[in-house]
Amino acid sequence: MNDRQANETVPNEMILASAGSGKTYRLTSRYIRLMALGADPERIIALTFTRKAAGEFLDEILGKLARAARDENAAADLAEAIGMPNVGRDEFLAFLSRLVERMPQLELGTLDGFFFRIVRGFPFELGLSAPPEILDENSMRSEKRRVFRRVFRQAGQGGRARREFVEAFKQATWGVQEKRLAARLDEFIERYHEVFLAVPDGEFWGNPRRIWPEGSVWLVDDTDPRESLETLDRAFSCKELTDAQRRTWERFVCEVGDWRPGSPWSDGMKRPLGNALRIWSDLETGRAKWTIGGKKLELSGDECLRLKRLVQALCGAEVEKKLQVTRGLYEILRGYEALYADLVRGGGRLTFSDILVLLSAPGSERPRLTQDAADGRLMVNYRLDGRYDHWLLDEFQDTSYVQWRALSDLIDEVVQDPEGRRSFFYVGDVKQAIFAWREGDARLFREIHRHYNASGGKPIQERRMSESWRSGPAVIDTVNRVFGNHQVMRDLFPAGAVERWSEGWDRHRARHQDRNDYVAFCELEGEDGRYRAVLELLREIRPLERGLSCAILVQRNRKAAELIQFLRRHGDFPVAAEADMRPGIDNPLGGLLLALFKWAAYPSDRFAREHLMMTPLRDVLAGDRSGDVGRDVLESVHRDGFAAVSESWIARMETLGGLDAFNRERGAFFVAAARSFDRHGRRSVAEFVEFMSEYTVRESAPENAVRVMTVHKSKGLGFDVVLLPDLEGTRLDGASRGLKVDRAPDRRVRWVLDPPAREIRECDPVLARHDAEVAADVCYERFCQLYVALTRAKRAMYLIAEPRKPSSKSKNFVRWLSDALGEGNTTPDHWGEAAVNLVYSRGNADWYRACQAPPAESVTAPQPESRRFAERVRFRRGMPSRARPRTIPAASLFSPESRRGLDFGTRVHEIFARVGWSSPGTADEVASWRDAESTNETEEAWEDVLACLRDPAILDALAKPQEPAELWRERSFEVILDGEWVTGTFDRVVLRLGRSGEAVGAEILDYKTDRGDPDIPLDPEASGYTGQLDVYRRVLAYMTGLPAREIRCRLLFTQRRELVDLPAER
Amino acid sequence: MGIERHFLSPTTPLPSAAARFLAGEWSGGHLDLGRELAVVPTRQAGRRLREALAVLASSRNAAVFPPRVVTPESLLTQGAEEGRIATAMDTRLAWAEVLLGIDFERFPHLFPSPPARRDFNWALGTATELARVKRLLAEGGLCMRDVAGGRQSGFPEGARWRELAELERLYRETMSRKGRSDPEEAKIERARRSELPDAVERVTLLGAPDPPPLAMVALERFSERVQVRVAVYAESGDAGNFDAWGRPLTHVWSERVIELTGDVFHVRSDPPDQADRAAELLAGFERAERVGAVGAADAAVIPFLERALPARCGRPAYNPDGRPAGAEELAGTLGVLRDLMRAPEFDLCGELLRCPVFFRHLERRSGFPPVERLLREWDAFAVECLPGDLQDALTLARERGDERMVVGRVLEAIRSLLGELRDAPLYDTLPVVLREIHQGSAFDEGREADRRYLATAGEVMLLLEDLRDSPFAGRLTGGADGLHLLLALLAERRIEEDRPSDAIDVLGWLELLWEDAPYLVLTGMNEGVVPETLTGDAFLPESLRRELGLKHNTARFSRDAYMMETLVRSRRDGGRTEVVFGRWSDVGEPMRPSRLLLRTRDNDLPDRVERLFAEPPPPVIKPAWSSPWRFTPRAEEPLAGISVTQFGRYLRCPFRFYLSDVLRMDAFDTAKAEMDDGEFGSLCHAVLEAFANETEVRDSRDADEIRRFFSETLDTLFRRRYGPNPSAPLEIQMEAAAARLERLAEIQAGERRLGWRIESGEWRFPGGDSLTLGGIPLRGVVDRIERNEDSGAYRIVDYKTSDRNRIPEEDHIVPLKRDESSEDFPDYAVFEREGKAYRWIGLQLPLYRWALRDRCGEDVACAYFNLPRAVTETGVYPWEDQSRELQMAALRCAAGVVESIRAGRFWPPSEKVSYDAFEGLFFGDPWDLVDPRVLRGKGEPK
Ligand code: SF4
Repeated sequence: MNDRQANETVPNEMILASAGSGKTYRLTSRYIRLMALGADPERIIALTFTRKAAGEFLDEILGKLARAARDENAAADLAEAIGMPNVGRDEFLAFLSRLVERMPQLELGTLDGFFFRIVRGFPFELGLSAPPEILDENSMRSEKRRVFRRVFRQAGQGGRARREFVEAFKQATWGVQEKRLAARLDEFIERYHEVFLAVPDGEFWGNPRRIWPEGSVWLVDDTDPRESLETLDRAFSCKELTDAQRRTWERFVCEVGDWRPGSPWSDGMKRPLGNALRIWSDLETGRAKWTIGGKKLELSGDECLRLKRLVQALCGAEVEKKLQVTRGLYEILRGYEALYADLVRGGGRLTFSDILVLLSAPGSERPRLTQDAADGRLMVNYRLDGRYDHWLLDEFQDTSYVQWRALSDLIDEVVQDPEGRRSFFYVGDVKQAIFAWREGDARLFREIHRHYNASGGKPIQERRMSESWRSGPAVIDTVNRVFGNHQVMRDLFPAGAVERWSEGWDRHRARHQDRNDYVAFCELEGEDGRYRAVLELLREIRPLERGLSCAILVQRNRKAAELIQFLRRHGDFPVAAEADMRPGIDNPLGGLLLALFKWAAYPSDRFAREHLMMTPLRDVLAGDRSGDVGRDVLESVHRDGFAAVSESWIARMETLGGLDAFNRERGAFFVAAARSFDRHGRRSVAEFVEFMSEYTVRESAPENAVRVMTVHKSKGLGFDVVLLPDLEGTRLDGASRGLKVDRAPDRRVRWVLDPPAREIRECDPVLARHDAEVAADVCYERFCQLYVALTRAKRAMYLIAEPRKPSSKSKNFVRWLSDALGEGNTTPDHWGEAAVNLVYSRGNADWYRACQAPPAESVTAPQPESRRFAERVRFRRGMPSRARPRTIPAASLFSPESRRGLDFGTRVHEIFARVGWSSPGTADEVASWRDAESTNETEEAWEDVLACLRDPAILDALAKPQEPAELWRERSFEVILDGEWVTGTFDRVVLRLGRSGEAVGAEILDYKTDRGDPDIPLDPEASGYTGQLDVYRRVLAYMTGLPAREIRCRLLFTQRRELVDLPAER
Repeated sequence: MGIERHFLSPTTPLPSAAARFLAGEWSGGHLDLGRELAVVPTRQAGRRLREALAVLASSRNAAVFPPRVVTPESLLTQGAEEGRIATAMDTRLAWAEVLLGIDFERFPHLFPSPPARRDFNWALGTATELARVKRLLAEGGLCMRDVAGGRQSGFPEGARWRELAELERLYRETMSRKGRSDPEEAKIERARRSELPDAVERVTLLGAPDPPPLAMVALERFSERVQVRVAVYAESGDAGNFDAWGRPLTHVWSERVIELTGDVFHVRSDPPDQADRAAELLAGFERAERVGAVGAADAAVIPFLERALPARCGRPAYNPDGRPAGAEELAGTLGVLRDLMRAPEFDLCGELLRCPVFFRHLERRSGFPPVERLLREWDAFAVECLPGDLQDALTLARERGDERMVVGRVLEAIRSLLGELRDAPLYDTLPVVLREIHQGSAFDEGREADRRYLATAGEVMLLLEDLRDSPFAGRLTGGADGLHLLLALLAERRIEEDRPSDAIDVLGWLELLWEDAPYLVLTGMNEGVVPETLTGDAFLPESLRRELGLKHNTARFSRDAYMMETLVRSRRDGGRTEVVFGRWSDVGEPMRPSRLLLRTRDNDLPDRVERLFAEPPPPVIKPAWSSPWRFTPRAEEPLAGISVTQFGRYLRCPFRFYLSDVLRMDAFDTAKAEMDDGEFGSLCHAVLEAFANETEVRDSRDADEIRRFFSETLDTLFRRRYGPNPSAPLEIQMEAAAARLERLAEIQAGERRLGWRIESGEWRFPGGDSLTLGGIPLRGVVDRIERNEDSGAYRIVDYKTSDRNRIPEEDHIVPLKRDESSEDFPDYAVFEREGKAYRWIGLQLPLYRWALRDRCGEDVACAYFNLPRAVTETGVYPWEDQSRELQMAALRCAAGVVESIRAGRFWPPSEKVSYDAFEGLFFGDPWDLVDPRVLRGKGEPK
């Protein structure tokens, strides 16, 4: 197929795909087309964001190929879809088999996974000492907490470092309630650590020269507010003021007099100052009316100037303070980061954002990983065992700038490939950019397009897909009315946001024009009313019984939880959450286990104890006077880990009070979570409780239930019926709270600031510009959110909202929907038993009546065979040395001698094993071996043996008996004895033989090299040897056929040179 | 003598086939194989072989003198000159020594950017990585130098490998300077020179489809002297498909079709589902352990199998691989010690105290109470003083005069323990410390847990021995590093457990050839797991491994294809193999079925693909939220006395009052790092109390003087409590308190100038029964009683240190809201004023007034002295309405509350509370979840 490749170059493509228009279809088709053009699958890389989507890529490609490989018609369809009508069944089978064969080399995955592999390939280059490990979210949280706790201690050494830290801390927490400093700072670090990583240079934090390069209105030379205040006061004293004005002014004067830089504005200051800021531009012109005490007060030119100065001074102090706070926060983050780098990242435990930081290394000169400086080779390709000619990126609108930077080197090469054989394809929907809070940067879409097309490589073709395969005509008509009416949007929302929206907008078309679908928008008073309407609607439609999938989309997780509670209580159909499950705290059993652990480790925790006393555990605790239960929990945690202990207490709860299905299931998750905690070998109860309190499992709801989820979670999914009962909310361009990070169009950070109050920002051109930009972005993201919500439905969509009060000016979703859809009047309607007012409807309200559930497929899994197999016998393991378990005192366990004792024993056995039948010359012979072989370490062993051999009694025990005999030395054996599999080693056995060579007598000699106290008389019984030797005796009896009783057993204590006879047990 | 191939037919399980093969012509008597050497792939295989031999012999009532059974690995590691070969400890230390000494500039390709911290931690991590590379290379008989030298010019990363070779040279030098040699290099050497023990007359390599190349070099040598047999587990008809060493030929096996029928596949979602399916399959047998075994190709499934098998089959799972030593108790305790040696934080001291080894040690010593009391005292000290580290805590304990008390002595014990560890090399000190803290305890070999403890302790002692013997130990900068290294090496070891006789075996993929269960359930049969695929190695990518002749992915595939086929084939008659795999990993990565399962005839491929890439069966619908029990609070005697502040809490919610005030449920905050509201208030109160008692200054009209007094007193009190080295948040809280008091000093001076003199500060209600309400003693402390020297009027003052200003009336009464009616509240709590309905939410000031009525008269004024965060708002805020009616209503309410409490009425909970400490406990729904029997009380409220 190489000629094909030569003929057809593959175009670079940017695809702007609307919801439901088949992005994945397009991507997988391109994949197959590339293969058909001769590309090796391992040279095609397709990346997306979620692991789920990544998994579906391959499934879908394989599925298409499998169908086409089996069926001529499917093959023709696929050939058509990939634009290569000549490709046939056989070729698709060949592709399928090639794809399967190359599975390990396929790069179909997530961006995060790809980056992780790069980092793993370059640990030393990135300053890591070892291959990294990915920290999952749950462990990450507990690692962060560990570091956080140390931040406080860090400065414990005293001296300047400490004072500076406290100073920074003080600055950072200025304006925070003093009694929640630590908690507040914790939230702060959690939130801004990543900002710090992106902007590690302190120069950008709270630096007025960067924020106001032209100078700031507020930071004029430090005028004393009191001076202006006094001047104004004098001026006002001769002015006509109403009583209210006078009172307000006097209070103002008094409180400004008491005010110190750094303390918050008191109530008497806030309003007049706010009013002064509102007329800021007038104050500059010298003609202004100031509202004070509820009435306007005309100001003279000089008064304007004075008031302006006064406000400047007060706001200036405020702004100055905020700059300090920002710098203080920076210092805290820096301290935190240093510890974090040391304790977590340095150990190679990385989060995905750490990985991006390593790869993009803001603010430092890291070597580029993609090329070997020497020969320009792509080192990433080499080390990752891959080379990617064709890039396919999905959901591109969610790509962050940093991610793009990490990829761009690799993609540059592709786009600029001189032969044009390589290709780049990216697809996404800028209208579904709802992950800006996760740094998704939808603007990249266009920028990249422009950039590459200007750079002169093979151009990137733009294609737009606006035909929905998902939704029917009524849904699509509604979508067009809401999102295509830019006039309505302009009336309500910032121009920047609407502009951006209209650039990405195409009128949608429904592929299935004949689909019988429906949209209704109704008003209902009160949350209860809306929930009730949802319930009635579901009772009426009965989607599950008709085989229809159904989702209820909400804006916030909390609403999802409420709604689920409501529907579970009142409905008669299964409801499931697509929500985070918290097995540690969202169920009674988890709470009980955590209380148990906590109480065991912290007996003074009365909360935990009383909690336990309210549960069936009360009987266990009540009977425990001596505190053994807690002690036992603590001990077993240390011995066996949290998972094992949790499991055993769950079992105990089953017997004590019984568990229900729900708690049993949660219990399984609890144990799994505990196991992942245990993996790190930690036993701290405090850490465990923290870990479990935050541990979340993403639970995906089964399709055979009504699913409740947030709009964010619904992205990428489609449902037959969609209900939207949670559309209320604040204005769409509401300002975000927290640190402001200002970026230039090229994404470079310009400055970071903890912002002063909104009134002050509005009068500051720089801050006002920043706010406006952010507001437009926020607003755009909210457009996307509604767009995602309104494009999920295949057959029916129900919008349910609070009636808008005529007085309400809030520019939220409800307002937008009623402006775009409403026709001025409402029609009463019934949903089941709920009366509603229809504002708008399209399509057929009875759409569902014709829907029948398809006959249920029998999904009975194959059951285990009842056929019986021959049982095999597995014997119990018998170890002679364990026949009588010993008790080992700690003193000998941790004696440095114990290992030497072991070595020593082995040596002595080795030497004895070389001694055959003894003779008077044996000792001399052994001595000559010693002279040849002895080393320092073995010296003692030789001496021991020699000393034994010089003892006549021992020598005699080693001598050959009168009659014929056989000698075994150091002989291992395996034997099945009385249903046990016994393994052991005879040190020395003498078999006396009868005339025909059969054994007529036997003696076992076992060497014991213990170095006990020579003054204590021997007690073989106590040393546990009798059990062992008894087994030996029985084994030898089995082997020789002699009665066990007649086999002589002797122990030779080599150190004391003592022989001990062990009589047979009865 | 030569090498000879033999084929053991897979119609018989491998262990017994191998046993029979070894037994050869044996026809009776002891089966004496003492002169044979049997090489088997793993230790578990060795066990199975020896067991099979014993069984074989027992069929003729005989015993076996077994052959020497070894693994290929141990062929290369056992030998004469053991003393000179570096231990794992030595190699890490030697690498670390080299790494800490090099000049990075000389290694620009290896270390293009230097590490953030060049410390022992970094060196150890890097050493581990380099040791790994050396080990991989050594399998093919290579070292770094071999890779660097003699490559063609096109060899990528040549410069990097030359630097690695240079590093290796330095390492080798370091080793040989101290008379040691690298174990991997020694293996290479050994393979070329090793000698067979004299007694061995024959060598057999059994059922090992993938012996390491070096082992084959050694076997080749042996074959010069004795007969070497290679026993391949395959039909002899397949002889052409294996090489002389019995290794499956790559080109044959990577192409071969593996016969599997569709009904053996079980597509499951994630590891728990896989485990559950496996257990479900086995549960179909009465004695599953006799028929079945589980293969766990993916280790992630094992923990779930260990849970699912007992649950479904009633049999324990046994994994011959053992448990990681790093997860054992002793490792945990040593980990705490290591952390303490790095930084003796107070929290860590608390962790050590909770280690059973340590608290049992204390309990055995005289003068220490049982652990429960020990912990109570410790925790009380911890929350009160918030010490940062051990030293702070010792200072604080001393200052409190506690150094002889329990906490002080625990601290002292920890200090001396750490001192001991720091004083001398770890190998000397640690055994002493371990002996000391274990003193008096003993371990019973008969108990499983004790055996694990013994085994771990044994490993620790061996490592210490290695450390002592290591000539490189001098590099260790401190005991913490040594302990860190020791624990890192300990974590690489495993502790074997005994096999319960009714256990179901759970075996890793490589053990399966030697498993003889007729019913085999394979789990974790996923691509990348089996065959194991290595991609993206930082040093040895696949292309280089292939070039160097190291184990590579294709060779692994053909080995595993052979194994898969053999596992299935050996069970074709009278057995069965099930194949379970997952579509998702335990962390949610998508997983694919193993390619081994897709080795089918081309025409069947589309069907097979569809079957294997199918969706797993849908999860069952999750059960709805429910509680298995109703929470039944313990019955507790009502209060013996009541304090003025408790009334408010009862009025807000009687149920929560029961929990907080009767049961006194108070959680212990393990993360406490700063003062809470109450403590912050107490600190300010204490300063003010001292002021009120200081007759010299308390009459001062001079704000500066008062300010000085406040500031000094605050400082003294604060330092006394939190020591010289408080945490940053504490320090800031202290400054905040100072700022508030500073402003208060001005106001105080002003009030004094207005004539207000302090009569007494912290006036405590008379104890005993002298002041009772509704029959029970009333308790309280009045912050300050003042009298105006001009008017003679009294004033009762309460300090408030909340962040926001508090208005006395708002703290006591609120008007009923529109949607509330007086029926919603008990009679006594509701009253009318000027035609408007109010209810009581607090009774503090009226009760002060009542308690002081004799001293100050009925009409005494009450006020808050606010010290809020906005210091401009500091000041005295009197309660304007001092009417008798209001006071009467308050007293009526107080009586009602007392009566209700005494009658035990604590139900129902209030609907709306601003803050609910018990929300999590009852999941926001006490109405449904609490059994209120003990809370309903007697009689109806008046
Ligand atoms: S049957 Fe359904 S999917 Fe098919 S064309 Fe009609 S509406 Fe569309």
